[in-house]
Amino acid sequence: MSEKKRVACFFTAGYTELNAMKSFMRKINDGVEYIQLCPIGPRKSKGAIKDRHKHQILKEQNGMTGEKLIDFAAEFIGKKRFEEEGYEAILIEDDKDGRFLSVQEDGTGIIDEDSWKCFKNRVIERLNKIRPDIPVIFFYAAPEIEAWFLADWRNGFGNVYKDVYTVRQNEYFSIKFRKYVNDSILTDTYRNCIERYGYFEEKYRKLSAEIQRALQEIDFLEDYMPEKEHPTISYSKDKQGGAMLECVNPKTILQNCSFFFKDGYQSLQTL
Amino acid sequence: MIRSFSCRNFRNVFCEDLEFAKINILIGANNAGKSNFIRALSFAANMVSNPKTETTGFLSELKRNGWNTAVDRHAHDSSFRFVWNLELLKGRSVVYTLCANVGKKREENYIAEESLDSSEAREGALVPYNFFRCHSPKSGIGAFSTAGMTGAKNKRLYTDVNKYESVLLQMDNLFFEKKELFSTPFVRDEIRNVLEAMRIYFRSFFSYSCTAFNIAAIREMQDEQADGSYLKKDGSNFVNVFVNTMNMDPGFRDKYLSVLKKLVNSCEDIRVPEAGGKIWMELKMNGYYFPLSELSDGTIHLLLLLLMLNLPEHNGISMLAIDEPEMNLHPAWQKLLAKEILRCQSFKQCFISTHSPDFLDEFTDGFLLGEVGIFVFDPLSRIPLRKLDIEEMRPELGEWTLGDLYRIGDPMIGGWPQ
Repeated sequence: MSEKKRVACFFTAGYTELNAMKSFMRKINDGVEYIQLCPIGPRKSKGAIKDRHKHQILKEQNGMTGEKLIDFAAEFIGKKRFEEEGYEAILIEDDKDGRFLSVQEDGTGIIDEDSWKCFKNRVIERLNKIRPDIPVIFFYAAPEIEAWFLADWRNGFGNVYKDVYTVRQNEYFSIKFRKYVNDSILTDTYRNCIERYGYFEEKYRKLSAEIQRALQEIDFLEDYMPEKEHPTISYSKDKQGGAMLECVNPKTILQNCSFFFKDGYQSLQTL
Repeated sequence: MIRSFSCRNFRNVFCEDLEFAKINILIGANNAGKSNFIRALSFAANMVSNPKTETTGFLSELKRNGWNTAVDRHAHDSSFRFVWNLELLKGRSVVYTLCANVGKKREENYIAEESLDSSEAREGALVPYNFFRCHSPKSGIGAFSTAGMTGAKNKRLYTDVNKYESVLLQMDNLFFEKKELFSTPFVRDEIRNVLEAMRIYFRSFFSYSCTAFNIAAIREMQDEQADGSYLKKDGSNFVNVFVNTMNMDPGFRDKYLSVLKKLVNSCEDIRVPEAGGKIWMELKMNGYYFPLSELSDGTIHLLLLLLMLNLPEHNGISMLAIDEPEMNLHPAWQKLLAKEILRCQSFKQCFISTHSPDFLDEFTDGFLLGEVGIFVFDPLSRIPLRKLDIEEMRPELGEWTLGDLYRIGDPMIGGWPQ
């Protein structure tokens, strides 16, 4: 039996099936046993969800994000099973999305440190009422996990399509797409502080949706070669997200994601 | 049946007083230990029943399990231990303990302890009654009770016992060559009867893996004279077993056919023609007879499984283990097969390992009623082999089935493989 510290993990991500998030965590602290406790999808009887679109959203979100995820964690840690397993910490992984941001006068967002601290304290208090003194680690991707894949471009989006493209095609794509991301998605406002990303003229844009739209609508190899000579690509959290999570370097991400990611990174390292 | 089982240090199996129902479902990731668990459970049975490839049944079974690789590689010592709490016929319950020492050298492989106790202490006694204990504390020496009670009237009889063979298999030698044992009525009658009942019990253990069925061999015509007393592990003598059972039980064929029709609506008849000393099976569907050679793998699997589940009760299968019965079966058939297992009287106890949520679904009600045990294998858990607790699961299964939870890797049912 492993003698590593056992951490009860509540990973919300849909690529849980690949255990990619655990691999990523091990890059930060390999002296810990990460036990994923979120199911890979929402409970549903066959035929219960007939709307395919709704099913897809639920699948991507795992049915548990935000408060639902905290509720699930709180319910689970109260069970006898939790005590028997000897967990020494709880780790919650989620996408921050538009939370913990304040919208400024210019319609852009800045990190609201107080609301973040308040949230963490509230969750810790709630979970510690059930399991006193158990450390709680918050591993929040801000605004979403795609920020990590952009922060470590070389191992993230710059690398993930290399099995689809040739080496030259991928190099060209990487340069073009990166420029597009910096100029058109992140813009000057968020290029160097991706964790603040989201608000433009007080309206929230979802980073993953912007990336998906860009890859669906724009052919970044158009100038390089005609369409029929290169494969088309798309992006999904499940497929490409999982693959990138296996490759990206937490230390590189830390350089660009210096608040939310750093919080989780440091907490995990010192466990 | 096996009321409970303990295992320490055998491969990756560890359990303490694990209680079983009549139907027991094993679930968990690949390599989690389900097959090793069945091996552990069947060790004594295999020791007693399987052909010897070494000088003794014990050494033969140890060899089949890889000699010293049978011990958990994380173990601190070189021994493994089994304890079976058995309910034998006529309400008799016993606890049989077998502890083996293993090593790289031949002489390091021997039985370190073998004992038989009653399962409960008798009235007025503090501890369960011990029938015999061998090799502990002294290797090669067995101590047998001479009366059916504890106290001064029960003088223990000491005699040499071969530490390379189980008492179950050297019983006859012991009792007829050792005059002191044979001349003691309690030993000669009582203990010997219990051991005989245990041998009969263990000889009726059958375990099958659907992945091991040799479909090609099953499809071929069989020698009419081939042994049909029990189904071989590869299923190759399926038709012989079918014929043998038909001959012993006149009602078997009709019963089998009526069960088959529930799953294969178009099936009208079964026959076993013979010619030139060979026999084969044909199914009549939609007016035409089809030999097994023209049926799908899934249909043949189904025929084998239905045979196992519909053997006459007097065939006396004490334990039936089936690995992945869902293989090659449509989800609809999996559900009907599960219902058939719930209904089945041909075995006293069964252990079924499965990866199929559709198959698992059908055992939800039985589980909540305490009629079906569900065992989760999770190597990452502090309790790598856990029996699902009914009361803990009841709120989870209010509107869901076991399969619903299993399909999404719900942590209450073992989580997603990690």
